[in-house]
Amino acid sequence: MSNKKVEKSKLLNAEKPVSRRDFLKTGLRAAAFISLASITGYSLSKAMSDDLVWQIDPEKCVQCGRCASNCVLNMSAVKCMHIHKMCGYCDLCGGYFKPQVKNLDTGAENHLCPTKALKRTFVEEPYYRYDVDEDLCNGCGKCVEGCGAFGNGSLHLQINHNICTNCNQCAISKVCPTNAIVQIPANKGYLLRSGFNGKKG
Amino acid sequence: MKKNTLTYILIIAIIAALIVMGNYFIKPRYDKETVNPYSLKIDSIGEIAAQNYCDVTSSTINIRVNEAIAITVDNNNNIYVSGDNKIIIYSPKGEKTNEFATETTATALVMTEKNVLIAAFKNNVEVYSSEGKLIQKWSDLSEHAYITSVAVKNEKIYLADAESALVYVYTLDGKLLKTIGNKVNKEELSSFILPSFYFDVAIGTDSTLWVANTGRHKLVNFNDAGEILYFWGETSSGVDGFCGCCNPSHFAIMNDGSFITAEKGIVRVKKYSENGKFECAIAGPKHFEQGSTGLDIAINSDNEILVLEPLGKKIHVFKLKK
Repeated sequence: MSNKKVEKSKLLNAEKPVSRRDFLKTGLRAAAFISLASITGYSLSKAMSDDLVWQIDPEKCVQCGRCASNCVLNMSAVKCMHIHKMCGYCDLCGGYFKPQVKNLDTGAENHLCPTKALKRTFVEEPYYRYDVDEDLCNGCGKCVEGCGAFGNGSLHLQINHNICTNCNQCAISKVCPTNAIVQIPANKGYLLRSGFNGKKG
Repeated sequence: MKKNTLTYILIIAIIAALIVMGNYFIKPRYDKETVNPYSLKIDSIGEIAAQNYCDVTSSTINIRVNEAIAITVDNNNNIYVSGDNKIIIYSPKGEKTNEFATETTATALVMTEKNVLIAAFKNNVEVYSSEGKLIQKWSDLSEHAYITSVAVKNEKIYLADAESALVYVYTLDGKLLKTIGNKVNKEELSSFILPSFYFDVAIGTDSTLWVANTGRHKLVNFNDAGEILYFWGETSSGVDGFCGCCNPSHFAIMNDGSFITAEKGIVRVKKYSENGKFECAIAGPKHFEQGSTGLDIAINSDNEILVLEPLGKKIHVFKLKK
């Protein structure tokens, strides 16, 4: 190869300065491609994954009261749930009775629950069973707070999937101060407290 | 319309759509000032009036144990703490002097009069020298047993099993002598009601057994035959009683026969006379991390009260002023 041809080839291969217009064009095309790829990938992953449902992580829940008033349903889909196996069946139940209650009976003035959704049934001396009336429970978490403070923590808040409409974006999750509302696959069971191993306390 | 212009418009539209979608998923900042109308105001319940506090001096020992469970002291006031699958020994001043590994974390510790360490685990017992040398190991308990406390006196070991709600009396080498507790008639005070796994035992100054019947908020005294001699304790959220489930969760008996109790829920440590009359509060919720539980107690020969606080990873040492 002659010297002239070599120089010409070098000149052709030399990098041309990129104009601002070309740079913007390339950049925008790349951005558009990445965006489309992301949307496609996200849609595909959603389509191929299992159905997801909203649940409350009991370890993160701080009973802030927002579940009662921020659900899109008139009566919140968040309900108090009771792990009976974990319950102490106490006579003096911190989730049922107001603190410093005088008489341990079912008198209305003794109820901690603002809607009287927690029901107390005598089992045998000195045990009492506590059940949640879900039609009355508004998910405020007051009983959960009481049970956690004085008892075993067997009461906890959870989203009832028989009631929840499973919104794409849970309205409560947007106001939850501890990000306790999470999406988990529908085929998984309800989230329980991590310390729960079937034993009391 | 030029081809390039159309491309720009499309790209801008995609970006705008992405911003809108992104914004939808971005959570609004919740209003921290929002008042919870359902809030349970329990802080005021645990408040202890200044006149109800004992006159004590206090200090703390940091233990750096993640999951401490039990505490005891030997005749020389050395402190033994179980936690993180080991038993750690501290000098009376709180300096760590030794530690030795155990298969699991001991759930209860006690020192015999001869300075032999009895370490109870979930369902077995190990006997160590005060330096941590394993002397004996025995297991005669059900695999489901859950020992929460151990006491020792006159060559007898008293094991509180929260699973069966019974107290087993063994010899030091593991021979079962007696079972204390009524499993039939639940209305009797000798039937231990245990809403959770807090079940403490201690030996009184007269060498008799005291058991915490936590579901009934009572301390019950038994003779060697397993008969009730005495009991005391009132259900109350007031400072003089026990409230919530499972209280007193722990207790210890001082050299003069008075009782030191620890509670969960409303976290407090209190002193009662040998007849069970409330005398004063040694520590209240302000002394402990919020939500503290498992405040095991030991009394040393100087009548100092050592309270293990697992959550705060420390031992509180209280000394009553005369």
